[in-house]
Amino acid sequence: MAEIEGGGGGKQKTGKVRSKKVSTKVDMTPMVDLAFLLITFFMLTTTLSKPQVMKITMPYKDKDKKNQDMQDLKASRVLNLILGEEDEIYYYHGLDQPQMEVTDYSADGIRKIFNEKKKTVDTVVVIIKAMDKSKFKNIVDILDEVHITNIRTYSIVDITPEDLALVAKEKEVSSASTEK
Amino acid sequence: MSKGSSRKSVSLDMTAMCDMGFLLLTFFILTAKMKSPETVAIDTPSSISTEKLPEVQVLKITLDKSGRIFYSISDQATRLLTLDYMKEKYKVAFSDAEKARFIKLEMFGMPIAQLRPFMALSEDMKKKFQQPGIPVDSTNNELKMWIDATKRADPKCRIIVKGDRDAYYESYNKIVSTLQELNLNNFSLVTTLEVKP
Repeated sequence: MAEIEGGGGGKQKTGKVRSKKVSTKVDMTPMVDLAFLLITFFMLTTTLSKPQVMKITMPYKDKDKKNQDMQDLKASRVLNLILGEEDEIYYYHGLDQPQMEVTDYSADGIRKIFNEKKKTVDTVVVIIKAMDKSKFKNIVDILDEVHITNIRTYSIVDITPEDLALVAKEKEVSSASTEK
Repeated sequence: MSKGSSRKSVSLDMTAMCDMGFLLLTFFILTAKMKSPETVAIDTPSSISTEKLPEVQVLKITLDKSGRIFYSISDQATRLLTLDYMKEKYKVAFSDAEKARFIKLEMFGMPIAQLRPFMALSEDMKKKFQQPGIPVDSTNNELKMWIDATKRADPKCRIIVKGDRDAYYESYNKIVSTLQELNLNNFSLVTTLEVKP
């Protein structure tokens, strides 16, 4: 394509006309440079990786019905989580007389607790309550852990004043123990 | 290079490479979809979910770090219908020219009263304008009206919430309770992919 021979000028037997030997080859290098520059540009501006989505289903906002559901739950199956303000998780088992404990989002933290809970009861019900100043990523992380451990039943509910009081108490206890 | 012809130059034949280069270039130009200019920078959290974000029939609610709420509709026809509903609801008279501008608007986050002056701004000014976010207070929940209008315009559209990792749960909960009030209990959260452990 680019090498257009000048009418076979280079192969004349007589060799009188020397200047005709100059080939008409076009130097493609700058063109290739340009082409690859543009390719790079378009590759970088193209959004190749589309973001993912996580499906989430919220319970119906019907207060009477919700209380009914809660009463139907067997207390032993319930695991309550309270997402704290500084990437910590407070959790307790059952519905009343809670024994509050603290953990975090690492694989040794909440995932272990989920797995242990799964061994003791058939269907774990995780109730997630987030404090107002906890982060959005905390919610996504905890839903992720729920999905990783294959827990089918979970719900995100509003935090109650009792839970807030429990968290405040727990914080007091832990700060007192660090002072000692 | 054969030894016999010393006259031959050592320049490589670039033709093939050039062909390939332009072929790839054409491919990328045709498939390229420019990154839409982002009104706000959102750093989404990561999850193991592998479902892709749909591109059409999407109603996206964006929540930024400071708790501002932005609204975007993917389809232009739905945008127009939504605006018509909102126009009647809030008695804001949008002219045809303003409607045409609204259709072009990818994302906005302001009370509806500010929408008209905002659309009159030039592109440069629009970028500089600090959008206050859509109000979601219990007394003035415009987000609810917007969602309701879009759902009426396109009942099949999917609701997607795109939140910043560091946004407070408080502001996320405002969006969710608004959705729950409208009985829209199924929605998706935008995340980036993370390797499953």
